[in-house]
Amino acid sequence: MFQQAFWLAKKELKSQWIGIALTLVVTIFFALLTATLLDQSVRKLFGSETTFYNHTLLDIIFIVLTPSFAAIFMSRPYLNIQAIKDDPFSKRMALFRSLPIPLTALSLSRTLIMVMTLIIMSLGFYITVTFALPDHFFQFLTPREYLIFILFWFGYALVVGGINPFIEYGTNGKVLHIVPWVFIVGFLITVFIFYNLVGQGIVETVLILIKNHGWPLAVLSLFVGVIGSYVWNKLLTIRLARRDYL
Amino acid sequence: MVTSIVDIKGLTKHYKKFSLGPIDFEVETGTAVALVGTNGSGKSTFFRLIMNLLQSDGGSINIFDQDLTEKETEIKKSVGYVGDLLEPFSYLTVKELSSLISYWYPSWDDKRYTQLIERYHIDEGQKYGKCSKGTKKKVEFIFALCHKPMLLLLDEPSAGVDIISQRKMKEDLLNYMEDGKRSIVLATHNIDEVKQLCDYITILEEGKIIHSFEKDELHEKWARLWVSHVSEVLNNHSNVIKVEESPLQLVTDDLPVIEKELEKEGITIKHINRLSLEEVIEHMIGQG
Repeated sequence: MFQQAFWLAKKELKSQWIGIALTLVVTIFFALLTATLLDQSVRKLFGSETTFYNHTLLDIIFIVLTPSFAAIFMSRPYLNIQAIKDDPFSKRMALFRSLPIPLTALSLSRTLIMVMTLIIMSLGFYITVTFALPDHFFQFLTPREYLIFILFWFGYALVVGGINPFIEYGTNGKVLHIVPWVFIVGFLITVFIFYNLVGQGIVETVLILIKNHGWPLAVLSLFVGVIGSYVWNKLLTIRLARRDYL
Repeated sequence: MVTSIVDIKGLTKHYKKFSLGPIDFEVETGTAVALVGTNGSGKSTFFRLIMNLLQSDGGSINIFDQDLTEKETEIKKSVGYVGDLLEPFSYLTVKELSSLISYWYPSWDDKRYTQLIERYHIDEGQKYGKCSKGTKKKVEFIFALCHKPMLLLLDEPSAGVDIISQRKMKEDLLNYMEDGKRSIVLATHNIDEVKQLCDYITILEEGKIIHSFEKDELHEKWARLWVSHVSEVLNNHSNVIKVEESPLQLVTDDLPVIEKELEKEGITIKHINRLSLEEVIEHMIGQG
């Protein structure tokens, strides 16, 4: 079953290389912006100088943007509003469901595509951030802490992005285009409420927690991410068996 | 012993503005059934329910004596389906599509695939989205045949296909049926396909099967008779489908019975014409 799912996931990713490449380019652009903000954040938190920077933007990047790395968001279904009517993901799935593919292999292939996309985009994002960061950044945050920081946000992206295969293949074009906006609004409200309650940004809080607690944070985040993806995969399997595709 | 390859009981599907069923439908091994009906009568919905692409609201579907919901993957290995499903993969070439599809069929015959690709003059390197409507139909038809299915579900396979390829498709389907173990359910508006390929005809209208019959029965039973006059008994006879004036004529779905009735009533038959398949279907849909 895993072999079949992997074969299908690989086949589809290969055929969508243009969308993947475009998504990667956009991701790298955001990574360059992130590096500047992250450096300013670390200097403010752990340095002696007083730095003013847009912590809200940094929060938005990590809270809103990193989960979107689980989707090939620079592809036609996401960019074309016609997808609301055409429902391209359901139509793709209709062909797969007409073939003798076990449901479990089909849903696993969706999860694998999500994970592989997330890995590709996250690698592009964090490698770019790492190279774009100035040398003095690692005087405030050790490479070990920086790695924990990356793994923490990767786990978070897995938790939220794990829902993506379900949205794409378990719902319709309308939901596909509405859900991201619902998430964005929800996350923005969270960012503002958090700042008003705690007095600092979410990313800043995570950086401080990492300084104090280290690896357990990354392990916890990755664990929740894996469990979240597993649960969404099971829900997708059930949904694929019960839904209309055309 | 005659066995059913498809056995559907009480199948229903409800939408806001359309309801399909309840439908009882059977296909015997070695037979071809034509599914005929006007546009929007529910033929495609029916096929999609059989392929489990739509969830039924009631009823059961058994294929090869197995419940579709329990043995779906196994059943689909032996079913070939043409139903316009390839469009979302228009960015792939025909060759890439064949690779995507053939992987899932252990019985896929590469030699047969190459032979059919050449027979229908398909350019394997062409993107599916760039193919003409007829070529797309031919590609889908080839994909449905290459894994040697025991059952073919064909939803208007020749719509938009050139006449030469239509003839080839008919030949291929006749060859497919040759061993007497394989079956076809064919939805079509092409009367020649019904005449040349099918043993049974099922008429679907507004989501319901209004008639199911053996094709050969039609020729024996359905006729138009020009008569001297029409009595009250004949006017209300259950086998008289229609009475028309000037010249006086009637349409019947059971000629032997009506002939006897006319003789009893002393009515002279001036002329008899067997009805064509198209005329019969038109009358049936009109009645339905």
